[in-house]
Amino acid sequence: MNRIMLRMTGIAGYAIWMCFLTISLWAQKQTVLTGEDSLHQGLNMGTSTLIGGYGEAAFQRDFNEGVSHMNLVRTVLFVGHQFNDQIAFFSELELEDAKVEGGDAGGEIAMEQAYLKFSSKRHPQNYLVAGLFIPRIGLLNEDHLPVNYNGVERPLVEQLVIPATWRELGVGYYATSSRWPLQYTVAVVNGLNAADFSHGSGIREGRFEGRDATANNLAVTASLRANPGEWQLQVSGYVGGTNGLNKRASDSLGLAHGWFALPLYLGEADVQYRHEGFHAKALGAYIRFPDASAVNKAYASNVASGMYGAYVELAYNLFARAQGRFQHQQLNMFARFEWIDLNQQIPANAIYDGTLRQSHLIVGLGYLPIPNVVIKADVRLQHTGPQNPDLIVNPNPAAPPYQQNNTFLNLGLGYSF
Amino acid sequence: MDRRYFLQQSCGLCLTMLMSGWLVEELSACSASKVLQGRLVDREIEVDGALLNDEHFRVLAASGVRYRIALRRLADGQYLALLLMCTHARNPVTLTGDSFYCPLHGSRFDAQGQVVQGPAQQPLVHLPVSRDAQGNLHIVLQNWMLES
Repeated sequence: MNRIMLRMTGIAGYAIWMCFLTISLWAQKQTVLTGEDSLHQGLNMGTSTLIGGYGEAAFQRDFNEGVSHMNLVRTVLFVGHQFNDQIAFFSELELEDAKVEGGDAGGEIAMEQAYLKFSSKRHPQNYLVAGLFIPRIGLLNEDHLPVNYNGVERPLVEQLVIPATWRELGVGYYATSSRWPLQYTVAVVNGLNAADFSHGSGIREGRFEGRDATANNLAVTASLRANPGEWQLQVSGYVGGTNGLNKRASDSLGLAHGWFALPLYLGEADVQYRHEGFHAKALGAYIRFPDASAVNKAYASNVASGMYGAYVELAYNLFARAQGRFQHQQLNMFARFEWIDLNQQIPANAIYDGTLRQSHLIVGLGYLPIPNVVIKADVRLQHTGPQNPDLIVNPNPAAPPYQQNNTFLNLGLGYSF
Repeated sequence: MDRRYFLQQSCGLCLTMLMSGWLVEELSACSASKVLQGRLVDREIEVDGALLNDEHFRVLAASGVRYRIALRRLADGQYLALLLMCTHARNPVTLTGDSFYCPLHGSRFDAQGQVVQGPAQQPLVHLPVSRDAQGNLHIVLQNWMLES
């Protein structure tokens, strides 16, 4: 009876989502924008203010747990202002999980970006940014709008290994080569906080995200991107100190201190290929944290000294050759396989956790009636290593036994403007 | 030396060399499409039409112009000129093959300048192109496209 009830609850969830999915959306016909039109569209240079944004809502069914959830995952407002030809301001204000209430877990209001941009007068494709910004590390970090990636959930590698969206305070230089199809970036930002690294979430909790960051430790990040033909190749890296404590506090915890003390290294490479509706991409990232042992000793946090993640994705727009009404619409079918190991290498004072060695197969569809709106559906098959008995706090039957395989059904909506 | 280590290192080196060779070859091919320099006369950019010897986009820059321009000869002998400015937040866009990408927020445009990926909603700005008797191309700009 319980199983029937659970199924009915799940079916009710699907039904509500199907209502969302059947909302009729009409494709906008795109036209040619001439130089004259651009004046009327407000694209002329000079002082102006831009307002934009993006957002996403998601439904997820966890088949092992037998529970379904719906959430307004994020609602983001862009506000930008062009002061003159060279100087501009840009910001993203994000509300996660629809509301924030004192005493309740979940929900977050945060500035995702807030920076000044100084463009070169002679080469406007080259510019400096200063403030809270998102460095170019991986693919999703910089380009995280829901209409621009496949799947309801962001790629897990770019959540758990590259902790997107990873923004920090600092200064960055973005440039495009005049001679070659090359772009590069270099940035100096505040470092991470090793005291907040936690078991199972990689380096994610160590980000300051612009709030009272320690400036005793710094980080340098750089990227190089090439666009030969329909390919895009990129490598990026990050090296930074993870201890912002002063000498006295560091000595008392037995930790090294200084700008690049307790260094963390992250290397990433990715490749993309696009051709007539076909899109393939692959990304790999590795984190090396050689002083994990000292951090575990100081904070008893069970962090790893080596972590990696990689994924391969193939996608095809089924409307790529469509004519008429569907010509400017997209129906993207995709499959992505992800590998993650958040304890690929651990120091002697850490405990191995097999559940952090994971693989995920995601298969799904994304329908874009216009390039700014997406309706998504996918299934994620998850497999992890076995649970380490040394890490079980509540043994069975106090807690259900750990299951290495699980299936998730995801439905989502997204927009950007 | 450990056999497994030797094999891993050798294979890694071979793969890196292959990738590097391919990349150098591809980028060399792209160097043929390095940025063309045009001459700004009043509100027009003048460039030698003979430099566009195929139907691929060439990137054109001119001193005094805020943005670069993607220029292409079409099959019917006409020319297409697109201002390389994202219509979302006015960031310069990058030519990637026969399409355009804005790294600031991820907008993508096709070979006609139409939006294929948001957040941009307006296509790239099309600029009128004419060809004179000497074979030079003249691309007409608006005042706001010039450096102030």
